[in-house]
Amino acid sequence: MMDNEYNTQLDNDENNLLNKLKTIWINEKFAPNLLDYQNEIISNVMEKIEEKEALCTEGIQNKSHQFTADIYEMEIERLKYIVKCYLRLRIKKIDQFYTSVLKESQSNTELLSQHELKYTERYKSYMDEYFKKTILSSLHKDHSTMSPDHYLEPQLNTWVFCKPKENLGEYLIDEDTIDFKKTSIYFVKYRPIKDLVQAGRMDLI
Amino acid sequence: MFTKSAIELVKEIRQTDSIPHYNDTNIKLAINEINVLYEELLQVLMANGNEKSQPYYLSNSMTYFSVIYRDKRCVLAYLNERLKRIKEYRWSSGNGLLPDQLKEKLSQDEIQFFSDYDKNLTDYNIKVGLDLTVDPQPPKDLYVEVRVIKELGQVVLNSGATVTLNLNTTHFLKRSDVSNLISQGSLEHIV
Repeated sequence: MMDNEYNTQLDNDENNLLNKLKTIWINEKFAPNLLDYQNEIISNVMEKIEEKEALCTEGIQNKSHQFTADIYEMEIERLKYIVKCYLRLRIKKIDQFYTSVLKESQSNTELLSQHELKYTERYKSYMDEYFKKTILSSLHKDHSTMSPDHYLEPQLNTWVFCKPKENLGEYLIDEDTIDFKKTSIYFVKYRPIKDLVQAGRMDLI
Repeated sequence: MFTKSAIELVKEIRQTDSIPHYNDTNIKLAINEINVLYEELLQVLMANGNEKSQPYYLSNSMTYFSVIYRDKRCVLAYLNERLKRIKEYRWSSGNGLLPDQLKEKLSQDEIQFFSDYDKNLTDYNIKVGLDLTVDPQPPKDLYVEVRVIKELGQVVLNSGATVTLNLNTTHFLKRSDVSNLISQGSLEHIV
């Protein structure tokens, strides 16, 4: 029973999903700003993990399938590891850039997952509270707010390696025209290609 | 000298990678300096209403203003860097408990911040169903060999099994079951 299921589990869909998961993780890792939350991919992966966990519990009851169940479990651990890394990177970025993240999330509802939004709002509330208590409230009222340049902003001018997913044609980047071809890898500033990465037409590596 | 205490704060935090004692005195001094200077600045401006855009008064105001700005900036940077290290501690320790030797270095507000941060992060972890703070290394094996370095007695693992973890005994257990005990420092991973 389990052998048949094992074969169907290995179909292309699953490999595609894994590749997508890896891509969004790597993109998030190399992008200096917070990218949109990939709800569809993450919830698909979580579903797959649950499915496999169910298969595992079945396997454990039957001694002869113990070996296959162990392999499944290893796979579950690996998937969970990538998901955790992805979510952890996002939380770290939120911690750092919470003000700009919240501002951006007002116009872009895709940016944060619902849990992340709640996390960010609470985070902001006790960060503000903390600075108010420690210093801002003891200052004269003309100085008792944070000026915008006191907050950290993502460094969009950093250089990144990127790889177009398709032939994108010519783009004007820092007064140079670059013809983005699918087969090549480019080393450019992040700011001009930000929207291409966000739209999923370019991957960072 | 202007901004002396604020600069000391920044130097102090740069000297070490750990969390130094909370320097309440210097923060108070810096805040005091800001307030005193600002009062003076306002008085000068009030007294010389018509001439305040003259270069003589303008340069005076500019100096005061940049001192105030730098003071504020330095104190904020000091506080923020401390918070950053406190947050890192929460991630690396894997639980919401502050050891006593760290606690005495923090201010009351920082302890409050730590518990707020811990609560928020724990809530988020529960919501997504994954504890993001454990397992920072990619999983290689399903089972790991661990040695008990803190007496735990009988422990029920996530998978439902019960094991007796006595001091200095070694066990061969599932990684997912013991990873939080490892990051808490109760178990040691034998490589």
